[in-house]
Amino acid sequence: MNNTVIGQFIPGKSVIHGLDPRTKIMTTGLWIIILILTHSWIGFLLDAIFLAAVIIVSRISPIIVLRSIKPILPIVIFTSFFNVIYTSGDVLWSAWIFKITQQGIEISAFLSLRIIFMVMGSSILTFTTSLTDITSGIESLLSPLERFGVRVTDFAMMVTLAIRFIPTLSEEIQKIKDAQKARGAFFGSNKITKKIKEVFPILVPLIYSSFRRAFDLTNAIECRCYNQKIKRTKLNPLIYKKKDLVCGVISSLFALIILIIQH
Amino acid sequence: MSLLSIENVDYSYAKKTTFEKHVLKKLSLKIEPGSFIGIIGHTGSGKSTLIKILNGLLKPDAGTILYKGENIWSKNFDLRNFHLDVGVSFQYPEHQLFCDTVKKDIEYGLINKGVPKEVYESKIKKTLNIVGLSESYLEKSPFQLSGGEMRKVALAGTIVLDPEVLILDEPTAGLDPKSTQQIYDSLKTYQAQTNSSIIVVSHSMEDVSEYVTDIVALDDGQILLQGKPDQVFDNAEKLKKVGLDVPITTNILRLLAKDNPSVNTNIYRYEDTKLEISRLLKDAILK
Ligand SMILES: Nc1ncnc2c1ncn2[C@@H]1O[C@H](COP(=O)(O)OP(=O)(O)OP(=O)(O)O)[C@@H](O)[C@H]1O
Ligand SMILES: [Mg+2]
Repeated sequence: MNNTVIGQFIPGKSVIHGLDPRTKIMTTGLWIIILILTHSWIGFLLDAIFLAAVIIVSRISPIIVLRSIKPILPIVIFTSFFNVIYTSGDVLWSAWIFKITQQGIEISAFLSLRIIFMVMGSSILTFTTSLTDITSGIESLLSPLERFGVRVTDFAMMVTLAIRFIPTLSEEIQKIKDAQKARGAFFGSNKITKKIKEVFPILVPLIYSSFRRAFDLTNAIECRCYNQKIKRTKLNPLIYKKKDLVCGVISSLFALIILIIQH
Repeated sequence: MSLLSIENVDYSYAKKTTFEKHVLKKLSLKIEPGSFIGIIGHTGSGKSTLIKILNGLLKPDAGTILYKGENIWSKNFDLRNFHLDVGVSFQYPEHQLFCDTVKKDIEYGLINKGVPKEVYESKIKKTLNIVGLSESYLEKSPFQLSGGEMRKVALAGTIVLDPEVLILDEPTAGLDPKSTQQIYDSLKTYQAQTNSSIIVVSHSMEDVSEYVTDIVALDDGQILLQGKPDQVFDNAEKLKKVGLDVPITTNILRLLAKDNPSVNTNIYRYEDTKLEISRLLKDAILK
C-alpha cells in the first residue's frame, strides 16, 4: 500500500503506548462523550489543546494523525454544506434560494470539529495499541456480560479476525486490480452503468478469495485444537498500573472542566 | 533501439513512513524483440516489483522506461494500451478469475482490447493449445477447477491478447512437471510464431537454463549477473552467496569432475548433460 492503512499500529515507547489498553479504550469513550458535550468555541479550543497534548505525548507524527481524517473528509464536507444552507437564523448572506446564517456556520463548524476530533482521538488509540491489546482490552471490558450468557471470548475472536484481515483485503484488492488492469481493464469511468460493471472484475475474485481464506483459517484454527468451551488464559494478562490511574484522573478532570464550562 | 528498456529505476514501497522499503536500486534492463529472458533472484529480491514497473502499473520514483523509444510516463502516452502490449501474468494469476465460464474469462481481455468478435474463437482455440487445456474446459466455471487448471486459464487470458512482450511471474509454480514442460515448450513455439519477447520469473534453475536465452539474476533490487545461461552459471559462488544455485545437472557434473578432471562442467541443459554422461560412460567402457 502506498499510504499507511488507517488505524495501523505504529510501535513506539511513549507513555501512551505503555498504558493499559482498557484505559485507552475507556478514555477514548470518554473523549467521545466530551466532544458531544462541547458546544462552544472555547470548549473546542480546550479540546484542541488536550488533543494536541496527547498527540505530542504519544510521539506519533501529527501528519500521520491528520492523515487519518482523509477518508471521512467527504462526509464532513457534505454534512456541513447542508447544515450551512438549511439552518435558519440571522442571515449573513443570501442568494436565490440559499441563505447562509450565523447559526448555520456555527453548527456545521462544531459538527465538523466534533467528527474530526473524534476520528483523530480514536486513531491515537489504534496507532498506539496493537490489535491483540485492543481485543483483549475489549474482551476484558465486556467480560461482565458473560454472566448473561454472552460469549465474549468468541466475540473478541471475531473482532480480532475481522480487523486483522482489513489490510489483507485491501492488499488483495490492489493485487486483483493490477491483474485486471494488465488485461486492459479500466477503472474510474464516469458513467454509473460502467462503474457498476467495473466492480465485478474486482468483487468476484475478492469474495472468492475471502471464502477461501475463511476456510483455510477454520482448518488452521481447528488443527490447533481451538475450542469454544475451554477458558483460555493469556500470555500477557492485563494489569492496571499507576500511570493508568494518572491517565484516568487527568481525563476525568478534563471532562469535568468541559462539563462546567458548558453549563 | 530496444523494444522496452528501463534505465536507473528506483522504487520504494510505503514511501515516507516507518515501513519504507527501498526495493529497486538504480536498475537498468533492455529487452530486445524475440528475446526469452529468465529472471532469477531470491525471495524478496524485487522480481515482482520489477515486473510491475515494466508493465507500467507502478511508477518508478526515479529513472525512465522507454517503449519503442517513447517514455511511458510522459503525459500523452496511452498507458492502457501499453498494459495490453506488455502482457503480464502475475504470481498466482488464478486470483483474477471472475466470470462464470472459462470462455468468458479468457474473452475479457479481448473485449477490453477491442478485438473483432469473429476472431475470438480462433484466438481462444490457439491459446488453449498453448497452455494445454482441452476445449471441454470452455464452458466450465473457473471456480470448480483445480489450482493448476485455474493457473492455466489465467495464463490463457493473458496470452490470448498476443502481447509484444509477454511477462510471466512464476507461471509454473505449483504445476506438475508435465504441465511445466508443456507450458515452456508452447511459449517457445508461440515466440517462434510471433517474434514477441518473453520474460519469465522462476525459482527453478533447471527450467531457466533449459528454456531461456538470457538470464538476469537479481539480488536485493540490483542486477547481480546478466548474460547467456553459461555466462551466468559460470559464477556458481556468487549465485550461492545470494541463495541461488546452478542447475542440479551442472552440480552433478561438477561433483563428478572432482574425481575425473575430463568432465566438462559448463553444461546446463538436460540434452547436453545426457551427451556428456554418455561420453563419460563410453570412455569408461573403453578403458
Ligand atoms: N505492496 C507492498 N508494500 C510494501 N512492501 C512490499 C510490497 N510488495 C512487496 N514489498 C516488499 O518488497 C520486496 C520485494 O518484493 P517482491 O514481491 O518484488 O519480491 P519477489 O522477488 O517477487 O519475491 P518472491 O520470489 O517471493 O515472489 C519484499 O521485501 C517485500 O516485502
Ligand atoms: Mg514475486
